[in-house]
Amino acid sequence: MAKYNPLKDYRWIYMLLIIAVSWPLLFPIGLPVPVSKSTRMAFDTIEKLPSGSLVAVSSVLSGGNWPDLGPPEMALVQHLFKKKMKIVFIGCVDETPTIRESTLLPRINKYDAQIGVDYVNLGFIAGAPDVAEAAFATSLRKVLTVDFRGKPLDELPIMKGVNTLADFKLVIHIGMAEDPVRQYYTPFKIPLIVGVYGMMGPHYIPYLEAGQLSGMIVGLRGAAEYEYLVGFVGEGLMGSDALSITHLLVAICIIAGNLAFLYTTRGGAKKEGTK
Amino acid sequence: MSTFFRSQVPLIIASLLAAFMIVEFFLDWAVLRTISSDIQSWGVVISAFALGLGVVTLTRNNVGIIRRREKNWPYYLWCLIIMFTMIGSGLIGPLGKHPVFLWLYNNAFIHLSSTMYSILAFFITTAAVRAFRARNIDAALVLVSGVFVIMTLAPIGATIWSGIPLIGQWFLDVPNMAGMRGIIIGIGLGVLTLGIRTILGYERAHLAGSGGEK
Repeated sequence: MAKYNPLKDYRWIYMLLIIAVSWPLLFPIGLPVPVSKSTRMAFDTIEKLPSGSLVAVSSVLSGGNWPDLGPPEMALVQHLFKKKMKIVFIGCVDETPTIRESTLLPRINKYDAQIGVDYVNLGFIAGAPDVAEAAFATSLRKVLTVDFRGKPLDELPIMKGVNTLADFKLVIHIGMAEDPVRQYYTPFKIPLIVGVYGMMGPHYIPYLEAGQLSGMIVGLRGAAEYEYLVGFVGEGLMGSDALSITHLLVAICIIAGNLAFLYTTRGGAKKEGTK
Repeated sequence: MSTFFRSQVPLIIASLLAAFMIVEFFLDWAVLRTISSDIQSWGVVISAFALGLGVVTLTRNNVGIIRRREKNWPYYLWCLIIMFTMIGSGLIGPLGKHPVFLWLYNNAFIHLSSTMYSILAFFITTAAVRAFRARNIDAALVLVSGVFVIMTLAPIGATIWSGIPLIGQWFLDVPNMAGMRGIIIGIGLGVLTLGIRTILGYERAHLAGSGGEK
């Protein structure tokens, strides 16, 4: 039977990770949240829009990606409501309209906004991501006749005169960044803000630098920065400490793994030398 | 069905539609725009049908496994029970508003989905310990830049040392962006090549195994 080696038992790391996540959630540290350039750009873009502007919020939000994409969408939508924008929600994944109705909208301050007048949830368009986004952008009235609650679009004041994406002043997409750049920005040249997965942030910097994106919220960290700017305490700021400690743990684990690697390789070389 | 209808007709349809969509993108004609918007609506309808097809296929496969009493068959039965409970309760009354549907969605589905996603954190952390090792100079460079970027992306980085975000941001803005630009341009060229091959009928992967690559 092989001898038990605690250094090769990764359950220690699992336990440390659980503590690193749960401890700051239970006892917040309050670490400062520096605001990144991409988040500041997104905030400034919305701040510059006049109140009452029509904004489309398209998303691939679902239960699985909620921890990373839910807080960015929540922070952005909170800002839109605070600025009294007219918001049209669309889902490119079947779960999105339900999670918005059950989890996102009830948690934010809507500043007396009226459904159908100031905001509307149009439901889901099949064909994620490109087919749905292209259909929404170019032929909205052909693929949707009623909103998520079954009310005809023609009866909704917010949808009066809205036929394509060209009728919007800003579009926000939560998910990836390539497909909205292809389907929203390139054909219509409308300012586009994206909320993306934390791990995908570095991948989309070229789109930001090329001016195709007017702002980018990167995962939970970006949500924390945005909440700080808007003055709203949501899941981003609440999870910011946990994010910091877990990232620190990963960095420590990498360094520790390398020290162990150096120790074993050097030790092995020494042993071979003595032979 | 003859090979002509099984393989040639879909190829012709795909090629014509793809060519039309490209032409429409470059020509600003109202007639072309209307037809293109109709084609895009068809895409949505076909995608919606695919969802229904998924339900039928899943049911057929699971029923077969349950009938044959294959290994773990109770899980397949449970999958069908939950799927039809969700579909049924979601369709009763106003869409997605039935209490059973909402209870299952809010109290089971969201948390199970989030759990599946969160498990990634454990894999990533142990993978970082096992795989992220300075075996040579190239790996050491990746390791150092990786640690700086990790600490830059976490708010605590600046608290530990104000230089961390500066160095990490340099890695993101210069080497990362140069590499990513190359990758994006490469993907673009690849997609263009694939599109041309599809229009010309050389690419047959979308025919679901009825032709293969020419």
